Amino acid sequence: MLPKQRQILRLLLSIAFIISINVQGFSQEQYTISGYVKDASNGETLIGATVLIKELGTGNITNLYGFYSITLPAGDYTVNYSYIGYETVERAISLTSSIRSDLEMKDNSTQLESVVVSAKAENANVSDIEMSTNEMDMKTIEKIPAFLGEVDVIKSLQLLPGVTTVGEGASGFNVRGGGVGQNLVLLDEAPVYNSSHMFGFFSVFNPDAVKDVKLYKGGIPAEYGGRISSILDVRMKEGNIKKYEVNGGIGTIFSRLAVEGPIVKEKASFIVAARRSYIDILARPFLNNNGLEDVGLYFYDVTAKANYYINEKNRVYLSGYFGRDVFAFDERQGFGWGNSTGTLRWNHLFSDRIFSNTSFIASNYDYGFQFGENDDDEFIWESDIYTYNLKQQFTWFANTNNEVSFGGEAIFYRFLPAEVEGSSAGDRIDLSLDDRKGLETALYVGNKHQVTNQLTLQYGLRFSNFQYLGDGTVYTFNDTIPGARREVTQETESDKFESIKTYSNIEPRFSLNYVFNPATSVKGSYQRMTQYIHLTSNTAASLPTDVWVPSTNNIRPVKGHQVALGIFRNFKNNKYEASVEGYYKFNHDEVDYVDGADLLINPFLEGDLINGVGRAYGLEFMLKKPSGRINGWISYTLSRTELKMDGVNQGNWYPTRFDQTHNLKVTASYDLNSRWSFSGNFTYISGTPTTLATQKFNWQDIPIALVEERNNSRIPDYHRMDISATLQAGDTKRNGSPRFFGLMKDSYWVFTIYNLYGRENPFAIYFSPEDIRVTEGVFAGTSARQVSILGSWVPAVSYNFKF
Amino acid sequence: MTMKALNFISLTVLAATLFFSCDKEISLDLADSDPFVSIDAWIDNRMEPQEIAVTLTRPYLNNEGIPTITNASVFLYNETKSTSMEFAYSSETGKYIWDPNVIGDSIGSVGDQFRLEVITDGLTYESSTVLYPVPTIDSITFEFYEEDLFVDQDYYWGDFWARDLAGPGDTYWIKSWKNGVHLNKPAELNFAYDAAFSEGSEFDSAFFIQPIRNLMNPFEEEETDTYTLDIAYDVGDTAYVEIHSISNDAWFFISRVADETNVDGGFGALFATPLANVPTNFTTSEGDVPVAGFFNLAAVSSRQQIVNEESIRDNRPQ
Repeated sequence: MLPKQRQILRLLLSIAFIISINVQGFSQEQYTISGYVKDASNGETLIGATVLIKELGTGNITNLYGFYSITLPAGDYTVNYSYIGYETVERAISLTSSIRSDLEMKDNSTQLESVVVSAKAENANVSDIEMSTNEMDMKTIEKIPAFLGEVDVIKSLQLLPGVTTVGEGASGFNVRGGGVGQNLVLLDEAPVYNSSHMFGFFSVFNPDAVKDVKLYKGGIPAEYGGRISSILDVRMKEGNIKKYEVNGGIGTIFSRLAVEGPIVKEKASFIVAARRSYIDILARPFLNNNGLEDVGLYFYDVTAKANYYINEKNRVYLSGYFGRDVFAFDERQGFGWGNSTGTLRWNHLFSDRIFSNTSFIASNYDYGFQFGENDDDEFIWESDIYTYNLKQQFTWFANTNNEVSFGGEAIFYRFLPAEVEGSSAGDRIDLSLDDRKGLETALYVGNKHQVTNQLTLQYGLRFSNFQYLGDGTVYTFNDTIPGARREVTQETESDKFESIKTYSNIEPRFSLNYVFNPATSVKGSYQRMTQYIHLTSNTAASLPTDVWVPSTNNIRPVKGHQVALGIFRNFKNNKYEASVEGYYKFNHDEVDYVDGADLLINPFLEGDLINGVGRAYGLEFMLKKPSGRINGWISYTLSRTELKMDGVNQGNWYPTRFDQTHNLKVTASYDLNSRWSFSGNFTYISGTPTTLATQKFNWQDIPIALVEERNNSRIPDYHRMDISATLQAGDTKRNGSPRFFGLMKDSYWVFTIYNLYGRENPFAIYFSPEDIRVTEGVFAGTSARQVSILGSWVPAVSYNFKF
Repeated sequence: MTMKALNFISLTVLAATLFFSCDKEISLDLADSDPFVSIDAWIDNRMEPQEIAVTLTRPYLNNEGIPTITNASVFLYNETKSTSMEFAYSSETGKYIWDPNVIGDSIGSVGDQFRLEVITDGLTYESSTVLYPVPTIDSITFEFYEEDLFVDQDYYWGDFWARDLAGPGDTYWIKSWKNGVHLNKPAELNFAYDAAFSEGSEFDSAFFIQPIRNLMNPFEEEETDTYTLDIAYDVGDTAYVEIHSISNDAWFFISRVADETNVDGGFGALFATPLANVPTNFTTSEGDVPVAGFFNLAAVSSRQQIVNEESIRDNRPQ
């Protein structure tokens, strides 16, 4: 261990010590009430349910595994369990020894009023320490009109303040001005490197298997790290532990089927959910008649999870995801990508106050393409990133005022940028690039500290370290002209697992919440995040072929600071929730590209990347009506995001591709009666930056554009409206006889129109010469053109069932 | 790996994803800026008149004639052989011309170092390069294909067979003609780094890979967003292919030109890289005065072939 690291470890330990002194200041006899809170209908644990000790006005919120623990002096108490959409339960307890109190809560969703937008205590948005976070449950997501009627987690997130995209068809999402690759997307803790199917039209999360979606845009707790912009934590359902259940749907693009049920009743359960698109199946007769029987165009994914309650103290989970997109032009030529992840988890209670989670996670993302007509002439390229992650997390429910979390993780990365085999007229050549390895480790400690009934603090420290490991060729580049491609000056060979370059960072995290009254609070936060792996992309939209690269001796990790301040206020007895948040971010060592950077199969890729600084700031407004027959929200973001790089725009600040000054979203749904409900949403976004040509010159009769500055102009504004109607099919026909033998009592139809008024929203402006062959004396003209990815309205219908 | 390969994929993906995209011409007010000198100096050492164009840049959406500079002084120096050649303005072609037949000797030979000097309006524009070697073209063959969804009649698909020179780092520009028509659309730009697409690929000494050796076939992209191949070749057609040796910098210049001019609209816009300037290898005597254009001096090999019984054969060199 280096002296610096030893110092940091000492620092972490002393913080842990300070916390432990702080939480041990009680002399009275203390007992603990703890347990799991679950849904009575299917045994799914409830994340974020409130457990309140009425007499003290304090309590706890169930963690990501549905566990809570409250330590109190001996006495008689009333424990109030609440969760929106469920019937509140009160239990009287006499605390003379520690009590295990598991609870199953009943869904009260038969009442119309209970339609939920947020699944927490009614004023949780005010009282929780969390700021800059958004939680969405599937019931809300399912209501939002979706492209081609396919319920989509990521598209729904884009209706929230601070979350944007550069347009239809672009993979991923941008958070508070950050790049797509600056979001850590976790599916049951496993990193998902590309969250999109079919470029960016659909996301990889199967709504039938998702339980909870939480996006951290700021105030990120110390247990998370590795990306500078956001953490998207998607948790999968555990599967009905009481009875078998089948959910599914037949849509315009996908069909879905999910089966869940007990393996051993009340002990173990599973869920398997699968989706597949079927354009290719529908097009089959057409393709076969045209000699194109080998054309394949489809995507699919399978999400599966099983869990087992070994006993009161131990529970294990195994979950996995496997998805793939395939564009095959014929038997030998095509293009595809996919993620696969696996997570093995063990929840263990060391005591009723110490909750432990141990996870082992493996994740892979790959893409590849292949062309060529036969073995003698072909080109096969595959790129992979493998991740193995071992994670240990502890939560110590010290007392009602302190919840201490600590732990660590180690992530081993293996990047295979290009495994390429080529042959030309029978000459076989291996074009593969060296693989790259990295080890990211982190230790963290944090405390959620309720100082008074009004003031809550959450503070923590994360110490992260990254080692760029051999083997492979290590390049040293010269520094010539700023903003131009750098040339290799030295090549050295490294040994296997040799540490070529090490980076260490201390990442303090701090949040505070001051509650003026149950309806009003002020929250503030500061965070420092470090990102050691980078998604390189210089195309208009983020693409599946974007390359992940580690920090190396030439690429430094990106370090980001963020401060945020917000006011949260609820009106009319929590009927309306309002918030305003402001943020300012400053990032060091952001990555951008030289003009004409070659990011694919380029051994000297590092020479095409440039480092600079970035900043982003904005104001986010949110007004939400979480329940009632009419519910929904309005979100508005005013923001700016800029980069400053040597050699680009004379070293001045310039806006990034995804800078959006105004971003307004309105979403609402209306329940007409027990059968019909309607939803709509409207989006308005300022035009994103683009680079416009000024002049041109000719080379060999081809006119070529000249530009003065990068991102010197903007494309026209974007706006769109979508609507949908949901019809509950009901379990009886008009004459009263059961439909489908009464099996499909929860089936419903969804009718959607995306881009209702058919606006041709601009995606990009480009400049191109006339597509003609020039001869002596004939010149190709030039023009400016605008592309819209969607040029019309898109209707869709889907049928969803459950039995 | 260049954008060219990615374009190839994107076009094919495009064919498979008949999406809803739309693409239209728009009018824009582009920022005004002052014109500056641009020099197009791509010459070779064949015994043919060599031409250099010296013009001014013009507003991007101005589709009128090109403003030519008629009074520049254009000198080429073969620094290895210590000779100099003056290119004289010809009002007939609007270019500066030097004819080797007048002195009966070529510009120079492989390995020679050259410097080009253009003086106009009191400023000197300079660039240097080396004359690199070029491989010969062994043969041109044609393979028979039946009509399919993309091409509505039977056709012959041509390959030119040439091997990249031994040793990494050779770069080429390949020009093709069908029945005397130069295939010079931006999408038909054909260039190679060794036998393949990019630096460091180690695709050395091999036959030029596909699709490089097939880009001699004309192909069209129609307005409908469907990817359609023109009838490549028919029996009796003539194919003519030239390989020009170019510097690595000139290769990068052409690959950048292809990026900037061969832009896919519609769904292909997702794959587009942001608009940026292509490089130049000219320097100006006053550093902050901009200049555009590129200088390259090539050695050239060529081959002509008629589509006939002899040249129609399976997709393999003999």
